[in-house]
Amino acid sequence: MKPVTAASLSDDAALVALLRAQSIEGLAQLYDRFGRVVYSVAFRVVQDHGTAEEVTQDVFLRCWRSIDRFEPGRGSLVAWLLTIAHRRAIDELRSRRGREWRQTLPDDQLLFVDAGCPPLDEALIRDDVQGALHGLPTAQREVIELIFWLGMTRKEASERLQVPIGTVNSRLRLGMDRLRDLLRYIIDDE
Amino acid sequence: MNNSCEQFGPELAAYALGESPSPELRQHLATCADCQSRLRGDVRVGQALLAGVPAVEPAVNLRAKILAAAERETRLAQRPISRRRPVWRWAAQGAAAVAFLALFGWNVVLQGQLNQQRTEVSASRANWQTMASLLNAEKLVWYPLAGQAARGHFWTSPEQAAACLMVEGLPPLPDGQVYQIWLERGQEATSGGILVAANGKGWKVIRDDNPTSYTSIMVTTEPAGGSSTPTGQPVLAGTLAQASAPTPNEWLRAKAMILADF
Repeated sequence: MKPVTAASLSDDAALVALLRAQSIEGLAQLYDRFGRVVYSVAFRVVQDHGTAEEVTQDVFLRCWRSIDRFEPGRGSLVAWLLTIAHRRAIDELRSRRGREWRQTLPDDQLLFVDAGCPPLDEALIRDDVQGALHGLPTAQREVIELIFWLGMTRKEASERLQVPIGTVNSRLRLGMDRLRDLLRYIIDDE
Repeated sequence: MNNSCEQFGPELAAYALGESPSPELRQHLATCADCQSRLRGDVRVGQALLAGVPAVEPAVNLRAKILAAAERETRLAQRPISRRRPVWRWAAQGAAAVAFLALFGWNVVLQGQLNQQRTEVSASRANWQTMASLLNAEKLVWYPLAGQAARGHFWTSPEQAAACLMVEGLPPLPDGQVYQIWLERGQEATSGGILVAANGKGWKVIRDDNPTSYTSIMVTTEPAGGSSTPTGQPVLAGTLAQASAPTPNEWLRAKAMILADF
């Protein structure tokens, strides 16, 4: 796991300063650093290149315009971007599928990792995360993926899987605990 | 961790993965350190799933598209209010050479036109700024509206004393008719003003201290000049009970329509 370094933290700080000045160069740097992972998240959700492009463009422009809402004390820049990208992509997916909106949180209430957590380097942890996911029992992985990547509510997941909602709840909880164990060395600082 | 905490276990996980928490969970989280810690762990799992997503390369021109869109926004935000004034002044000076009195009279007229133009441009700019501010509002609330042919959106924010209506697909108006906006709080309908439409499209900023208190909105055809109460058939209507969030497409479409008019 890539360690937290003063250089990586100051990279974020310098970029945020550029973005706060509404610099196009700042936006270019933001895209150069995180464009691929933001696009990958959008594509993972919407499964369509054109829509993923729209979501990515929307996310970068929104974050560029709203950089004052980014609070470094609450998490890293990439965590903020990815959380917004995931939320926007899920909204788009649900809209295109004609489903009711799953009530989502405003940007200032979105949950993302604390500053004390190591920055999550996508290149380094991708294999571990995919490995951990596939290390879950299929039933648990299915529930997590329906909720996280398809934006379903637990009730919708229970209908899709034709199991009681209590079963969805227990698979979800067990799966999340198992993932947390498998990824503990990456994500847990407690 | 107690029984109550166990009961909230699945909801904590769902919250971390994107669901909005129930009021009961919020209340519990406010005082339960164990569940706060468990939630942080779940959020980190979600964050790891995002960061560890299989990589997909975006199109090579996406970067250029995003930067071009940002540059367009920057240019629009920096656009000067008016460049016509020097031309008017030059014309006024030419007229002065012909006759001082004519200049005086002409200047009075011109000044009036300039003031009106400045007021209109200033109002248009203020409306655009309000629009942009609303579209970027943290607590943007967004409602779809529909009619037989027309469709639209109404959006506002509890933090701002303004709202916006955007409509597309309006049928052509008969002579002597206008579109008028009606905002309802319960049984009381108040006019939101005339909606000027071109090619079936129109938008309007509505200023109100409490825009989130409306219960429904509609657009009717009324005699030129407007009416004090709705008399015509609604061409568009919707209740404002269930707010949603705009899709990126809807958001960009709304912005594009406003910019096109500016």
